[in-house]
Amino acid sequence: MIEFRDVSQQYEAGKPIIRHLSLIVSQGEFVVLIGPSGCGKTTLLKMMNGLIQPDSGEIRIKGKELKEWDPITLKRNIGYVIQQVGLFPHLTIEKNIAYALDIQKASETEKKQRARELIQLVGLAEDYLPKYPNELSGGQKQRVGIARALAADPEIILMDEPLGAVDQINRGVLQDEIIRIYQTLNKTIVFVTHDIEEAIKLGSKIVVMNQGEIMEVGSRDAIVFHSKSHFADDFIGNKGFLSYLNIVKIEQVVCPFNGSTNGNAAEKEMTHWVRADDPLIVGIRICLENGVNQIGVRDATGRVVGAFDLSCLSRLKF
Amino acid sequence: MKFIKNLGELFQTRSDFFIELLLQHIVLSLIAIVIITVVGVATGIMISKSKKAASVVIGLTNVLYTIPSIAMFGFFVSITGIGNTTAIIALVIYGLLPVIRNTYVGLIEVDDQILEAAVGMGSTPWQLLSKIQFPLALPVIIAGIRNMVVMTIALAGIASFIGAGGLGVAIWRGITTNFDEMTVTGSLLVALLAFVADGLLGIVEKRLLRRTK
Repeated sequence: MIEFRDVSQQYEAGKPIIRHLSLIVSQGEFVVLIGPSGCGKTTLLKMMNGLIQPDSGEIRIKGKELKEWDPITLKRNIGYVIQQVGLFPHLTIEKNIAYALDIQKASETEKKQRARELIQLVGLAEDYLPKYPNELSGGQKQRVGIARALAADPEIILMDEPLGAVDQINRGVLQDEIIRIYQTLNKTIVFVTHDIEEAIKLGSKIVVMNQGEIMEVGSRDAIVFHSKSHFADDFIGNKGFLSYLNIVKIEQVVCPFNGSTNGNAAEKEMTHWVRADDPLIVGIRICLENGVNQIGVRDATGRVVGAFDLSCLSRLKF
Repeated sequence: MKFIKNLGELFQTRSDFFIELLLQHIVLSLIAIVIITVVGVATGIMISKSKKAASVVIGLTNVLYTIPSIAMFGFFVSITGIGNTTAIIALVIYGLLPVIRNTYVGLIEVDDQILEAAVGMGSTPWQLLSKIQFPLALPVIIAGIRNMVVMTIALAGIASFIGAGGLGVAIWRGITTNFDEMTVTGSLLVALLAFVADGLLGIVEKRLLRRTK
């Protein structure tokens, strides 16, 4: 989908912002770019839709070289969400969402219909369509920002710290929404953040950057447990581990009851229970709080699905 | 009190004269206003693309703006003679500054984030200008136009010094014949016209502001 080969970029001579960087983003991946401020993650993102041209190296989008793309067509093929949302204050929510269709001269009925579909997809009521951006809260605006990026049904969506200005509570909710949208629409997403928890939670592939270079690329598990670079280790550290425990669900590590020869008896001895869709950290907490080695696991309907104890964690497959 | 009564009587007995001058004044101002708006907004848009051009053009109009109006009218008489054409040329030169400056400032002060979003979504330069930048700059541009309209209507009163029509004729005649009521009636009508035009534009401005607040 997106391919960077030995790409370099500098704004000022002698101050490279991207250094000999290579990266492949495959179809359907949710790639998170993370690193300290000034590491080049936003520059990297803006190269993907041609907002910034590299000084050297090769960038291919959907198999075609960046230079061969018409810059306007390229941008229309890629959804783009930015931190301050950048909704157009003089347009209604409906017109904001349909903007990408409007500039491609879609019909009025198509624009109306698409706006209605998308506002529901991002979890807002249709009543919001005739309102103006200043009538919405920060979280609602960002939902509209996401809907707007989806309007022309692009295969690739770029998100530049979209939740940077959203408060902690709404942040979690919106992260869940983004995951849901990603899973339902099967898009390729590239997401920039400086929040480690957010990166671990969202990314199917996490790219740790520093000073214009990629320090490490890997899955959530690889980045948290098997990072090969010192920098990634320090940067992700226990914070990444903690958010890992917050994200991985008990159901991924459920194991049989101790003394599995007599499962029924063991099940009856369980004094504490946890739900299969709770995160690992809830299970660990219940164990510690109650001083028990093992707790039972039930699914959402209350059916017993197995047990959880610390040794179950070895079932995680990296 | 007697003076005010005299004014009323004068206006009643010479109403045809004043209404004709008022209409001339409106036409003269309106022609200048339309030219200024078109040229000023277009120039403002063009210079918004380049900081260098902007400082040159705005600097130049600033200098023109500081020339006393009587001198400006007099200068153009030597080139284009007396009459309405000369008056309109001088009025246009005066009125350009607020329109160019406000158009320029309105356009360049649109939030960068908004522009980046629009560009990042694939707007062409024309779409960026017509759908995003211009509508967002419109309240500022209208404020500049409002400023210019009042100024042009007032300044058009001086135009009769160089042989153009309009309410300046009444003012001029009043001064030269020591006929105060004539001068004051002409001046009041100019003020009234400016006041009404400003009020109308104020309503337009308010409408636009409500949409883009």
